[in-house]
Amino acid sequence: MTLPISYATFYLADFYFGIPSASVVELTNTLMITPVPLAPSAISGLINLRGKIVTAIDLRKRLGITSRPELEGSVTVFVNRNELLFGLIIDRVCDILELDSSDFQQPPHHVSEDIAELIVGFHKLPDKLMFILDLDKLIYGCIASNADIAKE
Amino acid sequence: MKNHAQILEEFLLETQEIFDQLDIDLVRMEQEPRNDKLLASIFRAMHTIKGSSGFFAFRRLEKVAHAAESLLTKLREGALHATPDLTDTLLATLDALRLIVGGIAEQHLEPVGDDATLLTQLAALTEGSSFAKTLPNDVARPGVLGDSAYPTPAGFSQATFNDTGTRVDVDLELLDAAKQADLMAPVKISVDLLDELMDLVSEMVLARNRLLSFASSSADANFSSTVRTIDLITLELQERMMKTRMQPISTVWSKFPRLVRDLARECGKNVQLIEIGAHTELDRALLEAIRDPLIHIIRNSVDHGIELPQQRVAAGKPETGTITLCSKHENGMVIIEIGDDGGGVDLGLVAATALQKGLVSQERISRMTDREIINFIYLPGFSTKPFITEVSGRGVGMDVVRTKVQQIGGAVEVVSSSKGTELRLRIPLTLAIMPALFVQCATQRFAIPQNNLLEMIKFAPSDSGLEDFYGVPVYRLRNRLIPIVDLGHELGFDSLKKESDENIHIVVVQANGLVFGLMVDKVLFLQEVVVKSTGPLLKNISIYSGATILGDGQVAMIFDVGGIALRSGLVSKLTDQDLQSELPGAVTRVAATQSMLLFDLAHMPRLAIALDYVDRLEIFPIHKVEQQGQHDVIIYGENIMKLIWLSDYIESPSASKSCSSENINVIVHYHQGQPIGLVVQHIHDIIEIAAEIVLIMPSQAGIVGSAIYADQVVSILNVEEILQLSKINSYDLHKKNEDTILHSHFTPEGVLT
Repeated sequence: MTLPISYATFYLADFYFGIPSASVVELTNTLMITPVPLAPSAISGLINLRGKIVTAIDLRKRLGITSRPELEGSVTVFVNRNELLFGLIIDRVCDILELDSSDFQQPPHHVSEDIAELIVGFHKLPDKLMFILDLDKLIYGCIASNADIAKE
Repeated sequence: MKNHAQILEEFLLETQEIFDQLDIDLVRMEQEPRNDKLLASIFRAMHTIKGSSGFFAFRRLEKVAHAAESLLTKLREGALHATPDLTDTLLATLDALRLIVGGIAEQHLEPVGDDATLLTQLAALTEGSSFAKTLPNDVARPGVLGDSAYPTPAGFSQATFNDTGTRVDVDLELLDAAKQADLMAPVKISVDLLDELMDLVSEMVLARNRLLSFASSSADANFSSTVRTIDLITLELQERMMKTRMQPISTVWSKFPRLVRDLARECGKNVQLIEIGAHTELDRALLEAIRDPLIHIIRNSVDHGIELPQQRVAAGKPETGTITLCSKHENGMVIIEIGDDGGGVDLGLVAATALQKGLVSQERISRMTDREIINFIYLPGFSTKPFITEVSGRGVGMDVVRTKVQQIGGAVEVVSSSKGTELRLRIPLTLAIMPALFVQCATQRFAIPQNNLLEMIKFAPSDSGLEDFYGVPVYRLRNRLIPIVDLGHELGFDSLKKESDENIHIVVVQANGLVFGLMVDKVLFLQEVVVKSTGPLLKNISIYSGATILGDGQVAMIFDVGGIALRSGLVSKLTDQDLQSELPGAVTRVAATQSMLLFDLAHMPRLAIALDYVDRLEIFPIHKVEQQGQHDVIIYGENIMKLIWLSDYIESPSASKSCSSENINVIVHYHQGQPIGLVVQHIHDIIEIAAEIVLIMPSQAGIVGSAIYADQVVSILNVEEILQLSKINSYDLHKKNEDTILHSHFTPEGVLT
């Protein structure tokens, strides 16, 4: 018997994703973002979350999903990674789901390699698939994925 | 009841403090061998260590401390005098004690070791005085100090006390004082907690800013006054919070007397160290950062700077060399000057070494100024010493100094002559908060640290000052060519073309010894910013040093000016094209001062007016002042001069026109051809004020901002605003001028100019 794992779930376009809800700190409508010139393209910029400067990552861009016309109406999920906050910009939030880990399956083979790397696996739900994201790769991969950072 | 570990912890802390103090005192003792008070304090310190080690039964520590104490007894009684050898031994003893205590701190046990040589030395010195009457025999004889022959600690200290009579009382008094101090003892707070508090205060400041903007648009008086109270408390809180991060520079300096002494002994030189301004405070993190650079500089001064005694005498200098450490606050920076009266930097030798190392061509070096040649000493691995000494000469000195100082936003300058060398470090007070200039590029705001800022230039595109120099756009500023970096281009804003008829704004900055201009779309304002990290994902982008939160809650990036220079390729382009040599300005600093006239008002001293506005200074008897309509006027040459009582606009209304004397002091300024008299209380002098003016928030009527002059704040008058407020316009004046032309034959009473 395995313990159920709790996931915070959300949508990006028609794709359904989940991240461990334990790492989620809070959700807000996307706040004012200051773009950072020369930053990797998946990084939307910096957000002031009550005095803390938080790096915001546009998950659509990060996952190669066609980007939304504008950020308005989007939601930012703040997650805690190694005592630091990061903002993940998503389309809309869904429920917190408790799923049994026996249900869990390895990443499918048909997704492209770049994306497969960011996905730990998926759960098959009655009506859809839920992809579980690898938060660390999702976040810290942003540094390496950009060749434009340092010219010198 | 405290447990053993806690008491041990206190013991370790206390001995550490005692050791540090002994370092200083022992060196002083050598210079002032007859200072009884000093000797008494050294003795007491050693005695305390002995006593505590007895309590903890640290036998080794106790033995060494005891032997040292015996020697100190002799010194205190005047039976012996401090000689360099004796001081050496005592300092060596101190080091041995440190080592033992260090071992205790690590393992909570006394480390094993043999102090026989040291003990023999101490005993020999103690015995060296033939009239050793008060000393117990077993201490005086070397070799008898074995454990078996050693009396119990209690019995031993008893013996010492009996010998020296009144000392028991002294120690009792000390004990009382110690108890008192225990109650008042500072509370230990973890640095992390302090940093968190600092963060919270910064957030509070920002929240307060938002609150203030609500209050200004609110009609509720209660709300407004509450907000004002919060405003004041926040300000106070912020200041106090900043204080907690500050420490006097003496925490770093305290090691230097010992350092200088030891180095000088090693080099066979006589060097004294003079410290001025040891109480100057700066941020704890910065103190840590300047420790190594300062040690490097002092090593250099002793080893390279100060000559050998015979050379000094031959050069007509006192035999003992002097190193002066001086620190002070200036324009919101801490200035640390390290001067020596040694031989100075041998420019010939530096130039020859540079040639020999192939750093520069013969032809080029002949054209270089002294100042440019001196800059070679900053190059990594550059040393003129033909051989490596114990002390220095490895060529890792000055480049490390400069790199470290620049890392914390500071600057180093060297001035050298045959009379000595002086290094001047400019260090910001704190890293957490700094003044920055906000500029706009495309639609975004960015901050440029004020440390990097030299000046701002605005010109119309038609008045093209931009030229092309080997593919680098340059601007001709006062006959100097300054390379220009188009910020919009660097940031990738190329698609957003600015309108061609807009003014061009250039912010002249300096970093790593390079002066260049940043072309921006708009210059916004100067503000203190709280520097925050950009986080792990963005910290690789070299053009930013951090981020900050503005009053409206938005995030703005703070530039790393050196990073921009690197990224833009300016540095490599300049080295390729030899542009540096064409740019003398790249080495010399732009004079960042402006002339001001310093004056007082009745209730507000130390105001300054830019000298550009001052045409004449006059004194008039007060009865010459006439009323004309709403204005006070006075006859001045062929004109009627309207008087502006500055107190009416700057001070509280109650203070206005409280003119105690019979005469009034007037600063005459010609406004559109007409004289305007600014009435002030007292005129001082013309002073040079740093061009960096701190803006005051909230702004005060009639004042642009303040600057610091001679450690005091000077408020700078906003002449344009005063003229506007006083509703003087040229039309009015002309009219009145015609009305009163009759009086034109009168002349002013006194001329000060």
